[in-house]
Amino acid sequence: MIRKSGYALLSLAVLSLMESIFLGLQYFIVFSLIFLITVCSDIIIFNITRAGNLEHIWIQRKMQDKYQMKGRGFPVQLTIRNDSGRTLAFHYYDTLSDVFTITGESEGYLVIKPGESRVINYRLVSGAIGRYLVGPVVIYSEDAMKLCLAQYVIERADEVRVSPSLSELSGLRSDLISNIRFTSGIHRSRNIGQGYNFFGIRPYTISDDFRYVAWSRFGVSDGEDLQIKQMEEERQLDVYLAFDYSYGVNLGYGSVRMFDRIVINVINAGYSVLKNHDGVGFIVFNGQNDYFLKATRSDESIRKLENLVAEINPSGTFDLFRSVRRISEMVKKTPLVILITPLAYSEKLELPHASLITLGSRLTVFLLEPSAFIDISQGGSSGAMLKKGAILRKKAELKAISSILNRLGLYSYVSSEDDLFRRIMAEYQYGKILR
Amino acid sequence: MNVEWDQWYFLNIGIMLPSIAAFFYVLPYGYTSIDYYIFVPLALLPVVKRLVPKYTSPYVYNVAGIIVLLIILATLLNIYGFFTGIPLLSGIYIPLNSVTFFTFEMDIVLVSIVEGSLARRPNQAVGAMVGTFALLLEYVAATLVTSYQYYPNVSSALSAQMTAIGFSPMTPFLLSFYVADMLEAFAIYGLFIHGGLSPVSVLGTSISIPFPLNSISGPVDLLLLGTLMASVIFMVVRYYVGGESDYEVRLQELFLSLTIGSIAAIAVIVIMNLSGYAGFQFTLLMFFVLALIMATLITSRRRHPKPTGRENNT
Repeated sequence: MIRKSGYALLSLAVLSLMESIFLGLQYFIVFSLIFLITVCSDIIIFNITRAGNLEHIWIQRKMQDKYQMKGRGFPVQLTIRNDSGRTLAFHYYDTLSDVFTITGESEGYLVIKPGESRVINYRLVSGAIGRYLVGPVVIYSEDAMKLCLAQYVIERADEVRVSPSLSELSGLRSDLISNIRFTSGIHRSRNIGQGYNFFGIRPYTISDDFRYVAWSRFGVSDGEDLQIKQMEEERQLDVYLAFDYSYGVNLGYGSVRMFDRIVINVINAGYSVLKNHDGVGFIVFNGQNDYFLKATRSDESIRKLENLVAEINPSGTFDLFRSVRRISEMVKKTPLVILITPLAYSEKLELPHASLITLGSRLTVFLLEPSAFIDISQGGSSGAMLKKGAILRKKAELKAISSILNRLGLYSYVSSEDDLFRRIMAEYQYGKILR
Repeated sequence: MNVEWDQWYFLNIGIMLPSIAAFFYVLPYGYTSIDYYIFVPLALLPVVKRLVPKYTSPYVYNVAGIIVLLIILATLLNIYGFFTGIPLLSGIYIPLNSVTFFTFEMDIVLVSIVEGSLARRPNQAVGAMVGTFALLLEYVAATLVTSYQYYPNVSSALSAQMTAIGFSPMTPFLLSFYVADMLEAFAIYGLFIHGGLSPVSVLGTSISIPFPLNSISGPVDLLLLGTLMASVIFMVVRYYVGGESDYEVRLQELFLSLTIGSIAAIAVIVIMNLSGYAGFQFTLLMFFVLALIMATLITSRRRHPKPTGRENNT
């Protein structure tokens, strides 16, 4: 295929030939003619030799396993063979998502003799969870004067499913610090009177069970008064962590991706809730598909979520009030529900009447502001200023929406990536106390 | 092979040699016909492009072009009285005459020579050379055409005719440029209408018009011939070192193309000369160029890969 510069040079060559003829300058006629024929023969020779033979290149890709973990590298091997009858020189590259960090030669330049093979090894490290394609392999070649380009795409792509990294799941660790940090002292219940944990004492009344009389406190105030021991029951709570997994969360760069951080924070919060012997479930709003993972008191739901996010990528759009309705349809009893969304398309938000928002359980909406996921260093100083301005505007917009949601009866906070986990746990703690 | 940028600039200047030589050959004849109030600001555009911030530099020429066109538009509107009474707009005016347009053309040539010399891609340098040289060649012809035997008659007649239809008097250099253009136009007319054989009646006289530089030669011929030969050598070197790692393949293809180009061009010229008695030179050449372009385009059609039947390759 001739490039634009090739067409431009061809036109110039023809024009200069015409000009030289019409002016009658003999040696410039010779020069223009040589130039035109050289340009044309360069293109023709390239087309009938290298370009025509590129489709005889055979490529195979080998990967150990299609299930990978974020942050853990995995090897990829490309075998490239020249099945044509002539030596071919070409560039190649494997088409890869920008979530991968590449070490090795996923792209390069090869000169392969007929029948020869080359084995190329490189290593990929995924910076985000999700399902990604590795490939197809593209080979291309240019003529000597770089006037045309021949490209051949070998439609062979492999899928890689990347699940969250163990190193990022701090909640999974059983060390003391993580337990103390977020679950210490929150074993509370309002259901006083039964159970095994001592709550306190109060004066005896006639209807009290005589078995709970605190004999050690007999007569402490007037010599013949009775005190009753109050016990408390450890009631278990189901927590649903719902989150937006639409195109709106597909924001970020390198290994800093919004959807990735939401999932990591949600999973960490899930483990922390589990450690407190409460049930945890998940709701994923992925475009038109709503995935409901029922609350369990084991890590079963978390495992399911880890598998789920390795299978899907952020897609579709997110509608806050549709999601709220779906939550009320999906969850039974009165669990604590926490919904996380960046409300990326907040301008399309249509507020319903407060009476239409009916939810039996407590729902808290965290509006995630995007500042952590925008690379301000790119685009120069004016680009940075524009980005900062857009971020500030978005924050102000989210705060305004948050106050409106609060008025509609939905608890709402604007959260950043840094404090999302702490806010989830604080809301969980508060929800426990209210029980 | 690591080639530094300054070496590339050196090679680019080598490629641009014919244009540079032609520019400096034309300049002493044409400097009196240049409007320096227009020439200098536009000639500084390459410097401006390199001084402005990086993200705005690609737009310097576009913005300059738009400004020039707006000034021409404002001038035309002023001439027809659209801006009468509007303080700033009514003052915008540039003379729309041959000096202005010669100045614009020299600006284009100078800027193209500078940009071609500083080009990062060899094609940009080669394109700039071919384009500017073709433009300058008309001005080279203008300097040579004064030695044409009928020049005094033709130039005075042309000058009188142009004055009669309302053109302002021209500088001698621009007059010779219009004479060269006119001779070229009449030669083309003679070629297409009379097969290049019949004499053409010019301004009431019966003069056989050849292509302007076909019968006139000057000292610049040797200079341009030398610089064109040097330019070809620099082109080959520039294409060779301008690649990434495929030097051997590049060199083979480049020399093959150049050899074919040289042999075929000589063959075409020999055939043209042999067929000269029948007056078919131009026709033959045009057929050859057409066939060449068609062959280039046909072999460059986008390929749709067919299934190879190998399962592991699809």
